[in-house]
Amino acid sequence: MLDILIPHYNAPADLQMSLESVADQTWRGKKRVVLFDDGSTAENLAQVEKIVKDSPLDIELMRSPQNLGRPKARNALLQAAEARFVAWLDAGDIWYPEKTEHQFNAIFRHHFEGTDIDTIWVSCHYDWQWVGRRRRKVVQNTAGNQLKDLFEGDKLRAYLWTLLGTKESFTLTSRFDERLTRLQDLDFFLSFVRAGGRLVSAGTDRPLCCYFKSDIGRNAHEIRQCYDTIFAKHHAALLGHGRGFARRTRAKADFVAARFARNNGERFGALGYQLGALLTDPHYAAYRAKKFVLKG
Amino acid sequence: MELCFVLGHRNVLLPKHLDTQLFENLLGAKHRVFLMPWYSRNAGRYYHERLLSVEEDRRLETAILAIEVEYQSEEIPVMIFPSALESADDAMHLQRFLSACVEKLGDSPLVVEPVVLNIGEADEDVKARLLPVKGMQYKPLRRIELKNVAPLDGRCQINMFSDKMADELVGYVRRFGLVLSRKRAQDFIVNKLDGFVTEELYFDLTADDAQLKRLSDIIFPEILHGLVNKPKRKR
Repeated sequence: MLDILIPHYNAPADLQMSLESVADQTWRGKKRVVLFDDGSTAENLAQVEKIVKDSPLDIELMRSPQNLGRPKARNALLQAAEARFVAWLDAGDIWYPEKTEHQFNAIFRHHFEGTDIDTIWVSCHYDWQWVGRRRRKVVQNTAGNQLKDLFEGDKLRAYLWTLLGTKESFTLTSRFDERLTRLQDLDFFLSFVRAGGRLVSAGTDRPLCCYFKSDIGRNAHEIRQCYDTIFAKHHAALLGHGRGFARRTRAKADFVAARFARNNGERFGALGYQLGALLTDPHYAAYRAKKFVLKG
Repeated sequence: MELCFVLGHRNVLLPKHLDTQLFENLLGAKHRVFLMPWYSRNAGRYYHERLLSVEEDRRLETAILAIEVEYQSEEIPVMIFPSALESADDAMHLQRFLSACVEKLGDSPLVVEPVVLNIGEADEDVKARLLPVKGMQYKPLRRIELKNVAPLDGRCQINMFSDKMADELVGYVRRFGLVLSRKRAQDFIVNKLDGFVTEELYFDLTADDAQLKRLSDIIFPEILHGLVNKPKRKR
């Protein structure tokens, strides 16, 4: 049995799209959706209840009277999971029909090869869709140094909705850090790998899900602070790859915050983060500036 | 756990042209063929016999895990063992496999529904090959005749005929100084016979060797001629 854990907050239309993608899965085992409504307005909650009622899926709807935030919602979902296997999805993102089938095959393949399946998460390539732009495939490379690759965020990215694993594997690490209003996925992935867990590939070159990305309404300062919390928490692991690497990782975090600021119309804020990156790692900042000039 | 085993002769149960969906229709709405892509990309029913060799690796544990995870409680996983009834050795392998299943399942009871597909032997002879296993029980034997399964009939008969004629085609091309594997020979015959079914020309299951020889005399030259005159593939 598979439990699919979905947090939701005031986005019933997005939720419906996600649930439809779950219902369309080619995998034929028993699945249950555990949906946590994180304090949506009465009107949105009524829509969610109608969606749940009309859905062909087996859905358990949990409700919070007030908005607790994503990490608390995810902890509540993890606690409510009863199945041996667990997968995640965020309202507004979608799975392609063969996602769970490929990921279960990967689990069985690893089991057959002697791996302890309670120490692996099966990830997958995914499509990345900025609102109003073309979809592009993002490759999850699980072959390298996963801790380093997660910090860098180029070859391997921390997104829960790419994963399928045993419930046991998701409790290998501690709970979602409730201080992290953003980026709790990254912290969760880092903790998992540091605890001896390993991400494995779904074994297909095709993307298996799609992330609809938008920076709008997301606070750059909040994101940069969450990065600082994560860097402090995983300080030893970060420094383990050298001081230069740690500097570059911090500078990259500044650039991410700058992007959020820019996309939300905070041009001076963005400039401030870029200056921060320049002071932290001038070489990396120069590389980014050159890339920007050449590629735009 | 309830399983369904399909037993019979290799020349009927070969995977070629017996696709999973048709097989599920044949057995019933609750029955679903157990696929094993984690074992091999091409795995499926053809590889169920691979489960009978359980000494060295974890294939049996993985198969049980996959069945437990992928099947709803009301569904019955189907496994096909084309040669399990062909010899006493094969019957013993099946018995060993079932014993191992019982052991791995622990307290969960195992019930097996045996289905035989189109074999001439009496039920008592078939039951004698299904050796008893401690801790599991067999449901009553179910018999399915190909001739009674209209949608499958033609396709299964192609399997049967192509298997019977393959050795002869290998010998036929050898007369022209050519070497052909048995598997490839079967492919060529299947391709040829497929056209018969399309034209609603079916096979007599009781055809004897002389009749098969007359059919071979017509289609083998055509197969070879077709290959010689086949247009070159564009590079």
